[in-house]
Amino acid sequence: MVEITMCITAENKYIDFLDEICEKTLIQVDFPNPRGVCLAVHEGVINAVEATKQKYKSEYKNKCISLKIYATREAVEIHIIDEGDGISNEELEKINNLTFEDVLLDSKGRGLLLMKSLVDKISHENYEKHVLKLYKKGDIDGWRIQGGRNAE
Amino acid sequence: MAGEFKEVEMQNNNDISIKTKKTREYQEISFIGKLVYGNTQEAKKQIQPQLEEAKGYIFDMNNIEYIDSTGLGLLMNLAKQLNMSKRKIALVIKDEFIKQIFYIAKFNLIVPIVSTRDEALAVLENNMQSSLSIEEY
Repeated sequence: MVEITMCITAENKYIDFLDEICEKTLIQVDFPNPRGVCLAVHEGVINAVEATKQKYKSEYKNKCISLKIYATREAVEIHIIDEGDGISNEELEKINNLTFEDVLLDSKGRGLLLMKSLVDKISHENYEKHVLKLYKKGDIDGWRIQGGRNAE
Repeated sequence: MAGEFKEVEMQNNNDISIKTKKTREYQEISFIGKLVYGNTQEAKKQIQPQLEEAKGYIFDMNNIEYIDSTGLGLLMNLAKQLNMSKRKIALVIKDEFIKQIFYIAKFNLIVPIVSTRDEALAVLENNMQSSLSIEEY
């Protein structure tokens, strides 16, 4: 089992770094098919950076985003914590009813949908900070990403 | 005979390099590196001056290490732009995971996804389409 907590300032340059930490952590515990979960985390971190920038404008570089990873071969739980405004219940409901076909021709709007497809469960908490929780079982057959069509 | 390569490189935290090549009447746009949040605006600025008039376009994703929703958005915008002049597009992706991401995002509904450049040329030559064109969608 590996448990990691990291804090970074809300800057683009750290996103790549967090991607690598996520992948290395999951590989370390022999979690099957880590790329999908790590892409979900990446999308969550992007949203955290954007939310921080929107709220704090020029002060965003002074704000932190935390990443907590609890990983075993059987399951992984990841928390992404930011100081942005979070997602309202109305927005969440809107996203829950969206499909990829709805946003197919759009330049934006796929991030949360992609996250939903790549993990088993997503939850949000808004207290002093916004917490996004991702959960994925270490399913060997998880290669058949839920919601996706098998290629060819 | 293969066309000339034009290479436009950008230095970024997540490097993206774009090469274009003319093959017969088609333009190949090769994406190399990562197409992600933080570099897509610059990628777009560098692609635009490199676009040439062509019968169709091949987006070669074989050297893409990583793509996220922002990268997918850039490609969709580019596809829409090219489709406005009724040009056909094909996507070449060998990496199974990256291919799966495009299928999850339903790109296959409007842009054919193939595994090799030769297949892409065949798709464009034979005017083969995915289920719907961008216009129809």
